Amino acid sequence: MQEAQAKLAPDRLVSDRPGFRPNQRLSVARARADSRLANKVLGLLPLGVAVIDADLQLWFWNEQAAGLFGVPPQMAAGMPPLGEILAGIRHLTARQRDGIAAFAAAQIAAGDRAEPESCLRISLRRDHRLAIQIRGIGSGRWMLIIDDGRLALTAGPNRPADGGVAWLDPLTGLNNRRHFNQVLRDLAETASSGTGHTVLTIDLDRFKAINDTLGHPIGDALLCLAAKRLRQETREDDLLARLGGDEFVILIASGERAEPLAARMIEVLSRPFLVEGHVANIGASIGIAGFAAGETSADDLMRYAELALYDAKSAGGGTWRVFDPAMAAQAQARRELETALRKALTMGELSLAYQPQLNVRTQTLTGFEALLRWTHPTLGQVSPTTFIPVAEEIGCIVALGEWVLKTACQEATRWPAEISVAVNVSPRQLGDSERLAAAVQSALQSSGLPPERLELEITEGAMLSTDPHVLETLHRFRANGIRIAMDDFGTGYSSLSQLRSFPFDKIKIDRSFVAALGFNGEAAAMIQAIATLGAGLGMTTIAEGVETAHQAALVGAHGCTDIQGYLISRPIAAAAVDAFLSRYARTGDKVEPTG
Amino acid sequence: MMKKMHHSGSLYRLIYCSRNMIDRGAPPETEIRAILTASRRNNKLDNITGALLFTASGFAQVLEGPREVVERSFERISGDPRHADVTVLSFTPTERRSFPDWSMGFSGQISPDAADPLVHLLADTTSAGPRVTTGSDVLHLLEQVVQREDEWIPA
Repeated sequence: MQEAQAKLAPDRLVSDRPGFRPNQRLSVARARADSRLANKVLGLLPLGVAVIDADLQLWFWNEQAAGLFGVPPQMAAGMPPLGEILAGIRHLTARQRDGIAAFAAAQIAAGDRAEPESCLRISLRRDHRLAIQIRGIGSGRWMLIIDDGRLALTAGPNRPADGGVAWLDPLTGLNNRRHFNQVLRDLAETASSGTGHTVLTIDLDRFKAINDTLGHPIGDALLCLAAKRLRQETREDDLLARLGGDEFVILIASGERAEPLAARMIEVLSRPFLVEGHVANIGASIGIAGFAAGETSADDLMRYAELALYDAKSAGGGTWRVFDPAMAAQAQARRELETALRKALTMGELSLAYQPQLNVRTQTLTGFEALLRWTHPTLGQVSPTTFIPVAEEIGCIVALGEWVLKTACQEATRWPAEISVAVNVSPRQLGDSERLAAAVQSALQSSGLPPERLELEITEGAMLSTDPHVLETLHRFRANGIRIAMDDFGTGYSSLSQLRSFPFDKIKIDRSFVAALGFNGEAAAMIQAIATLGAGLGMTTIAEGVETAHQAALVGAHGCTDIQGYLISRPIAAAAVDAFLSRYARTGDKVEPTG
Repeated sequence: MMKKMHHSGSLYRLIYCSRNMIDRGAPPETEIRAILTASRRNNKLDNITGALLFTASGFAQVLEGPREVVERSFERISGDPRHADVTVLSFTPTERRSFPDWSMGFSGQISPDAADPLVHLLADTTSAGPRVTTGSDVLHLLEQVVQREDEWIPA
């Protein structure tokens, strides 16, 4: 170190050598050559070197140091104080800037006690990380060694010495959530520089299925490939990070680029992946939100982007959405609905309404379908088409379904013995067939309703459940005398194959076919085909949504055995069922299908 | 689901097809020569063989080689802007190469009068219906039509 210093200070080199005065000219020339050599050597080093004093004034830096920091050329030529250099580095956040200055000051203050291996690591932008070490070189000067990863400093364990945290996602090598949030917060603090900055949150479509079927190691390998493809689409100034799981985020400086970039990211992630001998086809959904100067906090921005992402996901994925304040209002309303729905059961706000089902040939009532009703104290009657999907999504449908089973069985015991009750079973319930079996058994036991009077309605979607015990459970129900009906028949993808997979007792023909009767010949042909199919398989076929006597006559003529709909009655309250039954017994002939 | 663990170096065959996005203004033959020259250079080093069918509508390609290398090559190939709608028809371990002798075979339009064999294939992969074209169909097609690359590019 002494030698190196001597070469950098040619004056002292000469004055330290008494008796060589005759050759002074030569010595000076030699010293100048040495100095040039030293500079040349320092210039060729694959790392940045800078010399500062205790006031953080810069005394020397090689080109690499200026280059690594991304300092503008005009500034690189001068010898500005360290603070000024740091302020000139575009990609440095305020916190990082303070961190570097504090680190330098602390190392200098520690003097001889300073840990020479102590190293500060910072991430400037994507793929651009620096490790900085500071070593005393005597004479009140310190040397900064700045490495961008070509030497060992940044490659070492991801353990910054500044008391901070690792900034890298260990799996993908992208920035991690913590670092990303840090940058975003710093950006939000300086309102002017934040304006125009836009965040894109990227969520992989169908990733969970890959992870579940092929296993986590392959899921992880897929995430790495996805990260690599995303990285290829980013620019130098973009900040790309993995937030966790299969969610990524990218911060860009200009909002104009957001939508084309989103389209591009979705395109590249929708290409097939080859992962460890497997083919994985995924996709992506993206939410976009931009900073408004001085108005948006980092947390708000991320929340907005998440809301937009949620919207994109709800639209079926494979697309992007730009945040709109209406999304926040919708989300708020939705949260309130969720909260209210979770309480509805315990608050006693639920009830059942029953819609009668009629045998066309005998003109006798065969049963009632139990329909869930929710009356909220301030929202009033909430439509099942609104709250059932929410209940499905937040999972409380299972508890609601169990309540419906129990209540319907109980109330049905008050009806005549030949009248059955049909209860809808949600896909979520069927997904946990063991729990469903227990709930059915408990409902029958506590009510004393004979199993022959209970009918379970299952949608095609529920039949696609991944639970291998679903069919087994349904067979067990049937063996006990419970009837199984396929609901909304004809609306799904694979209606016919579903019919083959299980011996249903009843097919419920979707109301859309009945509504189309008389408007298009296809509907009639479909109803006839389904009824014929049902007859051949020994299944009851019931047409839903029958509103007019004409429709009743048509579906009867096409071979349906039963009908349900406003023609017979709207769904009626439990307490009104008795009155309906006795009134129907007197005037039942008015629904004569031919009439 | 395949549970067998295949060594990263074991022999795999990839068959994919894609839509031709090469600018109609540029003479396709020049582009194809460029693709072939680049892939020959890459593939010789990587121990990859295969065949490429190029028509006005698209590409069908077979790549055979060590699993990891095929996967890596596909990452590079799938991002090439000269094609789009890349669809993997099959990716399976194989005992032997179907195209062992040249690093990359090539077939141009089979004849100016012949129907473009990839038209229905590409229509297939973008429609929602069940796929009628399988990887083995494409493999057979390629086996019938590819010529030695030497006939196209002087070694």
